[in-house]
Amino acid sequence: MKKIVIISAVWCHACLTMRKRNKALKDKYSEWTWVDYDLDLDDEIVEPLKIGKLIPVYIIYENNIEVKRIAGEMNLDVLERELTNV
Amino acid sequence: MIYLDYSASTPIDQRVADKWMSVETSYFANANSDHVLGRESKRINDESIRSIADYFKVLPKEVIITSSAVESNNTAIKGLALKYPLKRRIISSALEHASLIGALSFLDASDYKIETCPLDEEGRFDLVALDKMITSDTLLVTLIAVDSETGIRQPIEEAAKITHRHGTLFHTDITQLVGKGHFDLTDIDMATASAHKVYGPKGVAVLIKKAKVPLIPLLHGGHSFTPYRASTPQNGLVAAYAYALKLSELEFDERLLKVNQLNAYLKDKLSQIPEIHFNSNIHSIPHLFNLSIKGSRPEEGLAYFSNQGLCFSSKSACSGQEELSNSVYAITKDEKLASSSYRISLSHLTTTDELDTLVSVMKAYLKTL
Repeated sequence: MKKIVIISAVWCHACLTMRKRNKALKDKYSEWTWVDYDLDLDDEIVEPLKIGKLIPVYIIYENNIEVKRIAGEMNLDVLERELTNV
Repeated sequence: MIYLDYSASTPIDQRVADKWMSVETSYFANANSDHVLGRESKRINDESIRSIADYFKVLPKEVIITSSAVESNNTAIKGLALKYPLKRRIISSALEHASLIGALSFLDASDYKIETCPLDEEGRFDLVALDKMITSDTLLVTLIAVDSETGIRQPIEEAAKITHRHGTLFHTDITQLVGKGHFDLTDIDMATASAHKVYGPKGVAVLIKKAKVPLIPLLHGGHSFTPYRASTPQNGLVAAYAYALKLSELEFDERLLKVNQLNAYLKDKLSQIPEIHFNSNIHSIPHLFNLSIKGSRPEEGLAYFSNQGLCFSSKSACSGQEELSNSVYAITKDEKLASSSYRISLSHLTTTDELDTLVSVMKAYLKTL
């Protein structure tokens, strides 16, 4: 069971750019569980994840175990490859 | 402590602080009150608004006082979106202030299409591309006047003209330009500016909105200076802002000359250090000095400089791929330079002694790398 946690912020241009790419992959991989957290509003959840300064962050879980994390702005193809090749 | 972060905030000018306190204590009555003290407060407020309008060369009714540039940007973007709910495309840029991006993110979540105007090889907005991007569905073009990282003055006046040819409205954030460079709001429909970047107090800002531009206010209730933003008029803060603008106008040439000299002085000193690369270019205002230190990580570098009593910045916390500075990368096309950049901002208050210390600490820092 695959789960993708995305952490972003409303003030972040890269996060804004990635939203539509995220949406495209959410539609394509609808069998995955997708969870969005806001860096500021969901700070109690985000802080223990220790994500660093570069956002958006994508944390990939398989069977509830973190297997990969990536961050920053990237084109749709790269994002899809990063999320699928775990 | 040496402060070189004037683009983040300026210290309040003592004359402005005195004005603030004087008005706040002498004209404390609510300007909406219909008694002699209330009318006196209103008279002072009207004078302040007229002075601010004169500075921006607009009508007093085109001045909307807000609490911050954040509020001004949100009012402009969301207020216009509320007015025209059927137009759902907005063109902006990667250089915008977080508050502008925040407002756009809010709309993006409601099915707005947010598009990014690209930069040319000199870090300025690509106006040919902009011209092609605007369609009949475009609600607004909003582009910042000065890139807050590199100080590059953007061609907002030309961008506004192009935008108007398509019958679309144009907003700009001129917060980093006010008091530092000339500008012309003739073709600009809305403009944001803030007092604390021009030696005024924090807590007061302005949204210039031309009379013909309709806008739905975000705050309702409570008569104010304007129907577009409710709240009890901030008599002292607004008088202080008006005075800060007045001083920046009266002392413009003198301040600019000093900052130009300081910029040249610093550039001369730093150009002797081979590990330092200048990112600001011919289009940059002299107040902003962006440089990269080869092999440096800004997070560690800033901690070092701060421990040595030097206060300045790097790029914003969130700037996209591989922690690159969008604006520095646009100019240099060099990932290493774009991920090792620092922003030093100068003022007429800066001294050459302070810059000598900066150079000396930078040399010491380079030895630690």
